[in-house]
Amino acid sequence: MRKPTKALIEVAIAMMDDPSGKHWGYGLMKKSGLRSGVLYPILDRLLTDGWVTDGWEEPDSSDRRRARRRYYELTDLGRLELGALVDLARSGAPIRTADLGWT
Amino acid sequence: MGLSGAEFWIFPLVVIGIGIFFGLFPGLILRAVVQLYPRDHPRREELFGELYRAGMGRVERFEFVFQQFETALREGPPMRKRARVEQAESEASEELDESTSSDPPQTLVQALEQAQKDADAAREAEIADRLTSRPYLPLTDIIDAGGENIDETGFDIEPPAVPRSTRDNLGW
Repeated sequence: MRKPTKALIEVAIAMMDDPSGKHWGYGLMKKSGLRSGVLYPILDRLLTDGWVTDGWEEPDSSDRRRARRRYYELTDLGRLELGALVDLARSGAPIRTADLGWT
Repeated sequence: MGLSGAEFWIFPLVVIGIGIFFGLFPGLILRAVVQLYPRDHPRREELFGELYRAGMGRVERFEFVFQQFETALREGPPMRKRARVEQAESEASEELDESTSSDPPQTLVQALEQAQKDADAAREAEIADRLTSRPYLPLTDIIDAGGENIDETGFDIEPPAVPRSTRDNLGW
């Protein structure tokens, strides 16, 4: 059973800061204050659940040799679920696993 | 118990050495670290992209690479193991598909038809084997068979259309 951890709430707050924007791993690490060893498994889980989608940034013409960056975008479902989670967290109400549908 | 001069300097020197190594060659270290992920895993390219595009300072880059080492150790081996298991399962599935060329029979009629087809195929294979190994039956086989259903070449021929019992009833 997967619990809504503090880390997930931190990711939710970081992503809901710009719900329609693109988010990069390093940026989320900085915003949420999470280590990458915690952040990336959460992002994988969000991808699997369809709460976020991913894509690859097109390289600039001057930077073709650089590796592309992978970005994450919230889906409508993700905005709904993570928004609800953020609201719950801010309200101080206890968050149960069932609230996330992660059983 | 006090440390001698050399022992005292070992620890700080190791720390400084690691710092220099991770700080001066972050790309090299990261390239080695991401080898822990399965081949073609998107995280390999993703981490490189983050390293060079995030506008990190040298200290931040050092920290980032060090963190990726932990991440790769945590995620990589389980992913590799899972990928190996999936590959083995897919190979086993392909072998099974090749060995069972047709679907299993669903009903009794289909099962009987399948058995008949298998018997026909076995018989044809036997005839082909006879053709290659011994084109003509020996005379003793023809005599033993009473000459029935065997033509002059020694091969089996189709049985008469009318069953024997019917012929007997007709007085043939």
